[in-house]
Amino acid sequence: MSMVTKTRHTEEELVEMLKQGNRQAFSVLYDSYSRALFGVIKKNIPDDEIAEDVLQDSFIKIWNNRLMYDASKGRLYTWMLNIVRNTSIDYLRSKQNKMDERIQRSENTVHEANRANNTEQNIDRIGIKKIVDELKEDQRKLIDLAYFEGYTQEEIAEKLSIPLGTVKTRMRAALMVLRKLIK
Amino acid sequence: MELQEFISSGVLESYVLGTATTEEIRQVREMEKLYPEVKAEIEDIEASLIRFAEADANPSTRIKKDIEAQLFEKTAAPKKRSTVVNISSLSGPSKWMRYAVAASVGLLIGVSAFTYSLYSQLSKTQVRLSALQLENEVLADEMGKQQLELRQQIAALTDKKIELAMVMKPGSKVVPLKGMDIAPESSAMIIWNTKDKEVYINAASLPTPPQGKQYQLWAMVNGKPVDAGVFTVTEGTSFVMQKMKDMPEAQAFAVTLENEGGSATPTMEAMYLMGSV
Repeated sequence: MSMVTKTRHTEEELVEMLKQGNRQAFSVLYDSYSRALFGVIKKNIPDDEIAEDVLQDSFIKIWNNRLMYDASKGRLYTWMLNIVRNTSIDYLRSKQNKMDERIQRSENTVHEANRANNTEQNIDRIGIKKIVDELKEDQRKLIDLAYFEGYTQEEIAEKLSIPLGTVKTRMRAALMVLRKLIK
Repeated sequence: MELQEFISSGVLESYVLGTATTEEIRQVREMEKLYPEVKAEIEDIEASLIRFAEADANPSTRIKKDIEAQLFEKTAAPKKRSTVVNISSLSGPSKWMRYAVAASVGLLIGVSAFTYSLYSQLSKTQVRLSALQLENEVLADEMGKQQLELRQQIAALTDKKIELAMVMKPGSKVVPLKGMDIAPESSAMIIWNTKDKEVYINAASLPTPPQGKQYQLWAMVNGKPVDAGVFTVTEGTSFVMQKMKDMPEAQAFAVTLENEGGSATPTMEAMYLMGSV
C-alpha cells in the first residue's frame, strides 16, 4: 500500500488531466502541489512576498510547458520541482542586489510573522520541528542540498567530501528517518 | 539485481529528488512496471517529501486566483506587484512644484510686474502637470496591457513549439479539417499519431457553442463514426491542443455539435468540420 496523503489524485490521473488543459485541471494541479512547491521555494527565498511571486511564475511555466512533461523521464512532482528550483535560482541570480537588502530586512520578521500567523499550522510546526531535530545534522544537510537546493549527486559528493556511492546510501538513510517521522 | 537490493540502493530516492542519471531513470521505470513494490516505494518517498515541504508553507489564497486570471481570462489585468510601474513618481512633480512656488513667491515680493504672468504660468504648469500625470497613468495602464499581451504571446509561442514537436514526432499525421456549409469559416487541425494512437485537436477557430452544447470529434473507421470524445471551446480560454480519445485506426475525422456530454451517434445536420486522413 502506498501512502497517499489526503485525497490526492494519482499521478496518472493528473497527467491525463493536464493534457486536457482546462481550468479545472489547473485547479487540481495547484491544489495538489502548490504548498509543497511553495515550501521548496521558501527554503531558498525566505521572503513570503517574493516567494509567492516565484510560485506564480513557476506555475505559469509549468502550465505553459505541460505538454512537454515526459513521464518516461521521471515523476510529475520531480519535473515541477526542477522548474521551481530553476525559477528560484534564476530569481536569486537576477535580483541578487535587491534580494540582499530585502532578505536582510525580512529575515528577522519572517519567523515572528509566521508564528503569529496561523494557529492550525502549529501542529505542523511542532511536528516539523521534531522531525528536523530528530534528523542528524549531516542528514538534514543532505536533504537540504538535494531536495530544496537541487544539487546533483556529484556536487553533493564534492561539497561534503564523500564518495559518490556514499551520497546515495546516506540519502536513503536520511529519507528513511524522514519517512518514519512523517508517518 | 535482487528486488530488495534495488529498493534499498538509494536509486529510488535519487529518482524522486531528480538527481538520478538517465540510465538510472530507465532502470527505475522498468522495475516500476515489473514490481508494484517499487512503485509503492516511489510513491511513499514522494509523499513524505511533499509532506515535509508542505509543513510551514501556506501561500496566500489570492495567488491561485491571480494565476488563473492570467492563464484563463484574457481580459484580466496583470496582477503581479512587480509589474506595476508608477511613472508619475519618477518624474517628481512635487519637487518641481516646490521650486516653482518658491521662485514665484520670491518674485512676487520683489517684482510685482511679473506677478500676474508668473501666476498664469504657474497655473498653466499645474494644468500641464495634471495632464502629464493623467498621461502617465494611461501609459502605466498601457504598459500593463502590453506586458499581459507579451505573456500571452509567449504562451502562444510555447504552444506552437509544442504543436510543432508533436507534428515532428515519428508516426504523426496532420489532418486538416475544413468547415462544412454551416460553418464555412471554421477549420481545425488534428494531429494523429499512428504509432501511439494519440489524437489531438486544435479547434481554436470554431465558434463558441450555445449553452448546453458541446463539440464532439468523430473518427470514421471503415465507414462508421466512432466517438473520439467531446471538447470545449470557450471564449477566453487559453487552450491549444486538446487531447482526445486514442484511435488505432481512422480514415477521416469529423466534428459535430451535440448536447453537452456528447452523443452515441453524430447529428449529421450539425456537422461543422470534416477532413480525411
